[in-house]
Amino acid sequence: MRRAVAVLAVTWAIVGVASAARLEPATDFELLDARSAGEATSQVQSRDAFTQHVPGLTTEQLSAFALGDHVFRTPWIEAPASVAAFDGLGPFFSNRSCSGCHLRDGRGHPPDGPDDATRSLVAKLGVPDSSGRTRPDARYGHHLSERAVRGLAPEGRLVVQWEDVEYVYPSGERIALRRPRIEVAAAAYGPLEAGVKISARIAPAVIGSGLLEAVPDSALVALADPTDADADGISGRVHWLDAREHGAASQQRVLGRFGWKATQRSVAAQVSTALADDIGITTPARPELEFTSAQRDARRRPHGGEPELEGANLAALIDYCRMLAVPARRDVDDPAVRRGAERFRDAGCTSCHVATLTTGDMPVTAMSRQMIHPYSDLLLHDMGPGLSDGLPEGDAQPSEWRTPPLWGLGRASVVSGYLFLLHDGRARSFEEAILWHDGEARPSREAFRALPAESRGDLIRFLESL
Amino acid sequence: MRVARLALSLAACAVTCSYAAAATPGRANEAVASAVRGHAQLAQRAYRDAVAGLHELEAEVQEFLAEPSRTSLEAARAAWIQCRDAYGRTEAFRFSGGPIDDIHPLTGVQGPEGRINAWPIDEAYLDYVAGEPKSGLISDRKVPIAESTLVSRNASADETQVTLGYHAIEFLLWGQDRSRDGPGNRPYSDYLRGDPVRDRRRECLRLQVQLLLRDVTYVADQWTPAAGRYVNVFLGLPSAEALGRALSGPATLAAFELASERIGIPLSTGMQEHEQSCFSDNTHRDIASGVESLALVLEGDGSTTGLLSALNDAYATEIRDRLARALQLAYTIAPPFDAIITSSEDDPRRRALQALSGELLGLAGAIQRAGEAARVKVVVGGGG
Repeated sequence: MRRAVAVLAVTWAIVGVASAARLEPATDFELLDARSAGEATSQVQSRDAFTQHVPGLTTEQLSAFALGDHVFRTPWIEAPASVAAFDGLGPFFSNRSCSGCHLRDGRGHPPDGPDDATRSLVAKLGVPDSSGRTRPDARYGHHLSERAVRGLAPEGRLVVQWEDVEYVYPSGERIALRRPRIEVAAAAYGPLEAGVKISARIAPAVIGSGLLEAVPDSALVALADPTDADADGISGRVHWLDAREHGAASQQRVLGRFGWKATQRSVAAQVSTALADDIGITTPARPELEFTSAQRDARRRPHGGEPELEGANLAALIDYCRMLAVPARRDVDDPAVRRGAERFRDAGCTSCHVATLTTGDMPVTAMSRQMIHPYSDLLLHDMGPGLSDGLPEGDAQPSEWRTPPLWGLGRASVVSGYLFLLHDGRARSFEEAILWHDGEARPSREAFRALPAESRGDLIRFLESL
Repeated sequence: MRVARLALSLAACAVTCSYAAAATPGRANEAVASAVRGHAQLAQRAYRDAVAGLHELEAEVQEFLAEPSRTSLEAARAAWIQCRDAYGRTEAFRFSGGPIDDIHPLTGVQGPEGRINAWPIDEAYLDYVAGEPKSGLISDRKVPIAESTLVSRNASADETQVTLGYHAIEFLLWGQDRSRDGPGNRPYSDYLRGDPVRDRRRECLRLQVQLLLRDVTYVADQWTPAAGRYVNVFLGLPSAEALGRALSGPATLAAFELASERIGIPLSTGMQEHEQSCFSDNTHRDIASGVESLALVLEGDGSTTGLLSALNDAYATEIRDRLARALQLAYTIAPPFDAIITSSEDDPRRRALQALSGELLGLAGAIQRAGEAARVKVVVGGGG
């Protein structure tokens, strides 16, 4: 990875915090900046820490946020219904509302075991071919939904079994990790294809989406180093998406930045995709739901409009996601947090979990030209075979994942009442998540592994302060 | 690790002193301190009134369950309407770092607002609805009706899956509102003894009232001075910080909760269930008592001074004028509110609500500007 020095230098000029001469090196300050998102930081630390809008909205922006908040929480119902605005659920769906998976705009959770129902985890399907591309399953398509409207059988049920994997520290200390084995039961249209791969994904938090969207493409391209030209072992690369498939006519390719594999170019695209795949709601960007030839019964089901969500309600939902603030950090002057920040930096975590990005010009003042600390480069990295889901997606290989932003993670358990990390929610703690790092992140994991227990605890205290 | 001390101390203050911009000068300081003390007393009285109302509700619900009849159901509903007004008058104490909805600074306990006042409600999650006679927790005999069940299932998977609070009780007393000109019409026979599902409904209602009383009592206690209580923390804050917190409550209630969530959204979506008290058709009173709580916090109650006494006269005058107009508009809302939601664009009732919404947004803006003049930061939050 190329160093982010140039980006940081610009940051100081824009924000103008004190004078550069009085500050210690940038990394020290940025890792201990309580303002996670500059002016767009919220002070609320309670269960509602993720539900706050960025400060200083105009009356119109506040109205859009409030309307979007409602759309986010409104449970969709089956068509036809007397409530015309929000009917058209399904016919296949994972949940009835956005908040059904992103409770209080927070993260989802995997099932506890084979008998537990999934509510905030979705399953992607695909059959990889010899060229490294993926085609949809012939009977079920790209996606398996576990719920369906009345009178229609759900596509199937995900059965998640957890297998223990023991991990041993150099000191002899042992920790039990777990990984999922996922099968489909009660498959309604016959068996899935023999070579199908099933990739389970939990819902990520929605906070700060608009800020991540506001980081210029050029800043992310500058962080990428696809051929590892600087030979530091980190070769983050942009997930370039085919422009024609992603609704951008003027360019050859567009930069993907949202989703576990960076398959979505914008908040609007992410919202439309989730509405279609997870709730069964069509929008102008996704006017058709996906049905295979085996699913004629589902295709014939009544819909709630063409499309089912558009206009002011859809625009407000997208703006709502964009305007969600990021909570301020806590305990940044705690000595353990300071030591942990140093460990985090020294272990090389900030090579991918880039501490500071800068937003461009935005219509919302508090989000415009802000120094933000998402702890992500939004790039794809090879995370090794342990985290591979076997499923190539777009240009992303099975073991490649987008660096997930870490901001707000220290509040996630307060917001949701639980904490599950990594794409399939296998990690039950920060420690487990770190120990799953491999591939490009292997040296960082090894650095963590080699630390004395007390220093590992400091590093986790640092993560808890985010 | 080397650390930028100046920057760090600024960063730390962003959390602990989030509402105070700078110290205020001497004479003004005394006015601020007095307003802050008054605020704590007003909060204590308002929550005590809410508790008293809930004791009445508890008594009426006990009588209703002892002898279900049309009359005893009406009495329980009337007690709900009464106690709802008293709770409405506490709402301006939300959104201000207090014990109702924030984390207690000493105990780490999350405020119980989400168990008290959650809405809108997915009715079918709790009890039967039209077309689904066996839906909901009450019909699901595999799950025991117990305090732990109701608490653990309240908005745990989805925010509309509500098992507790005023609106869950409202649904159990009135049932779904399927008409445009009246409230819900649940029969008292839903509570007759001797059927397993009805018995579960009886127990559910009893527990809900008991838990609501306990939760609101917790908040009232936190505003009652004693060791470890929130009020002691609040009164120990630098007075500018306390004033900033206190002003953030009415500003957020006015702009976000009342103007946008409770008035703007129902008007723009036209959805009947987007009125707050949709089962009892009491939404006009939810709005009016919310505006009353703004007046209480800002102007005081006659014997105790409100927050306006700490603010610059010009702003105080603007805020008083806006409050007076907002109250007048709020009192003219004619029930049922859902008839206004579905009314035409030029309906005078709709116009009056839009005017009220504008007045509340203006009020929030004036509170923010007054805060700036008093060098405190007023946070208009929202969501959640």
